[in-house]
Amino acid sequence: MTHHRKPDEGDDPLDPLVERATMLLRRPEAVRPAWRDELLARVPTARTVRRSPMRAWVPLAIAASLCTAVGIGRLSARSGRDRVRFSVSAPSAKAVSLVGDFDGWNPAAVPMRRGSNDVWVVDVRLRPGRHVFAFSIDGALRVDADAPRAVEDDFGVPGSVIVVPERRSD
Amino acid sequence: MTDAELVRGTLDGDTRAFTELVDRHAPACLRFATRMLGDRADAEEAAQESFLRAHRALANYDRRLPFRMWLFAILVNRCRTAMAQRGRRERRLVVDTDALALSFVPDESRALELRSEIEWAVAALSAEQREAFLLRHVEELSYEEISQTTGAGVSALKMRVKRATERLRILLEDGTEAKVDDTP
Repeated sequence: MTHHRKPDEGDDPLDPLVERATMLLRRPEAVRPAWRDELLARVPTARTVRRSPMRAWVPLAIAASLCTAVGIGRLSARSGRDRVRFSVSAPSAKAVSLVGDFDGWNPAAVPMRRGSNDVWVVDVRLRPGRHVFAFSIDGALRVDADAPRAVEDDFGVPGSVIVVPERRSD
Repeated sequence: MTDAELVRGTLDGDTRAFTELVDRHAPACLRFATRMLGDRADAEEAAQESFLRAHRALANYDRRLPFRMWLFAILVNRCRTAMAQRGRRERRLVVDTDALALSFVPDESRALELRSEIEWAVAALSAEQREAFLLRHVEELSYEEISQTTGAGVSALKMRVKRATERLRILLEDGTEAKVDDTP
């Protein structure tokens, strides 16, 4: 982001005294090494969900994650032939389930289990083809803002898209 | 490396990427929080919480927004929360001697005095005016960016900045008298 003020926003020129004060206020605050060390030590590295390397037969699209009040989620979906693993990080959630066109968008159909590091996971078998899905996190449907989105609106919120390719013949 | 690339690296599990984001943005975050809260310890707490919340929410970060703006939206909220938690506690204007020693230059006694006056004047603004003034004139965000960061409308923000600027001028021109006038 540019840090330069835009000159055409209608501000009156600053009084010289205020301008001088502003210049002093702009001086950056020194960062105490101890503060920095404490912050970095508190960063929960285990919560990070690494993107899995995509294999040739892995879905063409990976979808999403989400969050709100329950904390944040990050989804990874991986396919092993017709089996797909969905995972989402939702540390504060009490119940998470996978919903989509493959289970009639029924929150009770495919509950996810809390795994290590507050990552909820479930493995499901999906037929090859395109599927639309979302997560039900404590009853609220969530998808990721920058995940592939379904054009249709299946359940009042846009769904994420995953494409399971045909099995290879080997 | 851009902020967006560092965000992506963090999401991919590269802890060095997040460290770089911290190093890149911590000085400005601490600056805003310190000016906003008038207390270095409170500012450090607010800034640290902001980075941790940003890390937790990183998967939800909309890359169409500059990362700094997104981070500042979190920081602004943390500062508001800190002020609310402080409740009726008297607003303190503390000259942080450690910070000053780290950041200040020749003619220290004069600089300390001037800085003290400026910090006092900024602290004398209402929270809304102070927030708008700092984001506009110190952090140098555009009004549209401030609007997205604070949730306030552009017109209201312009008015807050204008009033803050006028008030600051009065306070700085006649600080002693204003201090007496403002004493509860």
